[in-house]
Amino acid sequence: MSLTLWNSRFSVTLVRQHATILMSSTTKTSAANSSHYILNNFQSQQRRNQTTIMDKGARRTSQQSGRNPGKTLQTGRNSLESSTSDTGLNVPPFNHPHCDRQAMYQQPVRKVKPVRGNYDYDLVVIGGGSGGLSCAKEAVAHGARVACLDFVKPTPLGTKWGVGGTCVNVGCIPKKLMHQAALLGEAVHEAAAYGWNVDDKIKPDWSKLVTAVQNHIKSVNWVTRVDLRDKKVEYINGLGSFVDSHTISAKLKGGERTITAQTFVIAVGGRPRYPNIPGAVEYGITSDDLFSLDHEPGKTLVVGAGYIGLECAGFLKGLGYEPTVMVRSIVLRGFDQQMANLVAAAMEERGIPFLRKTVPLSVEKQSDGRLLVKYENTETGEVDSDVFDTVLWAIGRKGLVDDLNLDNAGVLTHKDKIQVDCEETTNVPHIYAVGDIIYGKPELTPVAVLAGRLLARRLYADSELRMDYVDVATTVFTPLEYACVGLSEEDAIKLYGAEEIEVFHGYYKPTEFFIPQKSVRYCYVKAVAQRNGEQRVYGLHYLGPVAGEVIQGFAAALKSGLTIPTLMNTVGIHPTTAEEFTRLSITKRSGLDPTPASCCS
Amino acid sequence: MVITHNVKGYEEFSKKMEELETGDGNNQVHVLFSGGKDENGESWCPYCVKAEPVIHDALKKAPENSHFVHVDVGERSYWKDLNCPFRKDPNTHLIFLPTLLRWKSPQRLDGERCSNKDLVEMMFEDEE
Repeated sequence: MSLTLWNSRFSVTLVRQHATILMSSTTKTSAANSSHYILNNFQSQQRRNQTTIMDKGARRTSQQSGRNPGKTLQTGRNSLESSTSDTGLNVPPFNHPHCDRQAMYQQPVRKVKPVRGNYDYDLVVIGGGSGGLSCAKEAVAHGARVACLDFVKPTPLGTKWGVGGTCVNVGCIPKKLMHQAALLGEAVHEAAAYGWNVDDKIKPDWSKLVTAVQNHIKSVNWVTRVDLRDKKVEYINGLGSFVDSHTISAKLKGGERTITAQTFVIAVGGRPRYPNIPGAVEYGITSDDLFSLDHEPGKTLVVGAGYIGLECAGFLKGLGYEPTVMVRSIVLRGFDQQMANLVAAAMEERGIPFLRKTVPLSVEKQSDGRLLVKYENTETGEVDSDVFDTVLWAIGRKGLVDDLNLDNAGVLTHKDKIQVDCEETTNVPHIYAVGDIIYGKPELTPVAVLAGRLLARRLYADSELRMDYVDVATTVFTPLEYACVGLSEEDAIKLYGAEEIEVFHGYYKPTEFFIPQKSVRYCYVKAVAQRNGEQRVYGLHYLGPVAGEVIQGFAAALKSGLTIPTLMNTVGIHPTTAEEFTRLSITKRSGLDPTPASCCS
Repeated sequence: MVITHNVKGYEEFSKKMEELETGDGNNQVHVLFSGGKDENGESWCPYCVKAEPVIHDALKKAPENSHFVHVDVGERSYWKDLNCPFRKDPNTHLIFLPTLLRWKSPQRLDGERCSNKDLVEMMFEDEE
């Protein structure tokens, strides 16, 4: 197996080497064609490492010369051994094939010793969100002089917020709180079935909810400011743009300030997109506005069926407003599509209509203040319209590269994002990027936090540890929550072929659902696994209550090389929903009915 | 000049806050809660002792015409009672002594942070 792995790795290396064929000798190219060389010939490997480094530019050569070659050799051997040797303890080796971890750790970490040059700061972090703040704080903890710029451009509606970034202000935190508000409303209704004497005419107070949510956010903003001050990170409330690759200009409330730094980390994140149709900006809102909206959203059209759209529609429904979801093509792009469709079906069952294959054409404000939305079915060409109180755009997010003047620093962009290598370096060696602004990586707070922290440790604390972006667990907080870790079924099939994949699945009935007679129709779990051999688990998917809490622990198991036999040998906690993962016995291939018997045994 | 008020106990405190809210609702009110003092003027709460001079010194950074209310919470046993009204009041929700806060605002420092000059000044100057 490890040979196959290395071969697939070669194809990547080979492309790189062709690109640098002018500077590489023929021996290197031929070595790369030999599948044995990496296992047997560490000298070649050492050379290959250098090639990889050289292809990123001559700048690395000087840094490389300072390295002890013996150390790389040792590292290479150790990681190979630990990943393939039989420890004798039935512990599966750490070589999850679709995670290119071995390849990642094979490359030596560049040792960029930030020289204390003639700069105002050692490090300037642009963006005070999850990634930027963690990086800034960690860098200071290791002795760097750090400034962190943060600036929020108001939305077209005028919404603005404090330090902390998307997650705290207009993302995960307010979303989870509003989701909780919706779940509580649901719980009150269920309480009656459990014997509580409750008034079933409960009604939410939108403005009370917004105030509570915003108060929490403001206290988090304050704690963040205190933390920055306490840790001696200079916080600059200004919009940064590059003057040259070591100089940034910060636009402040009163004037401008020019700051120089040895190193920069770009962590500016992203903001919601607006569609290019009449009335979109004037009358529509986005998730940036929703959590502080000063009036009830009322009947809401949610355009977009990514996780943000679905989550917003979900809690709006739970709070008693009437959301409709407009879907252009597919639901939850990038997620396992069987699960995505179950999520959508569960929402439809709760009375949230989905307008499928539909795109908006225009938004007009009627004389009564309500919004007339015209839309088109992209398959039939049929044009229709409806009237809403609120139109929420959730059609995707855009990286905030525009204000940075990246040209002045020579940093290249890719679409509206920045491409980085496995050490979060941009094409400019002393400029890094973390978080939502980087191209092709999960846009998740904990990913940004860890990437930022690890980057700071590599820069200022002699660490060699790199961010592992693979097998990151995540949760979609729809009314019935969906959490997953690892590969989707379709990605596993794409990678290994349908014949090599076994999918274990089952519907289940949460114990708590019986008494209030909640629908169990979409409570479902599946494990996507290797069909033969040790039956490594490639991905876990869970649709049901408290999905995030369920999947987090399994994520650690999966990262440690979980197999189906291990999962089957794990004793469940009864009665929980997480235990369903230990009870998976029906494969899709068998064609057996995955719905449970009526009793929970 | 910052207008300083000294109150003792929960009743005096609530009365003072009501008075300030109705009388002068526009100016900031900072409140320091600290442990009571004995006849020698010494508090049973060591962090309060440490914080007081720092806070009084930093007060000059507070906005003109803002209020500063120093609340003597009382004796140790009274404070340690988990049903102590200072703990129960939704506007104070005290957990630590000392606590320095801006009334009905997110700004709040507690414990050792109340004797960190930098942070205390930040509290008085913060404009967000």
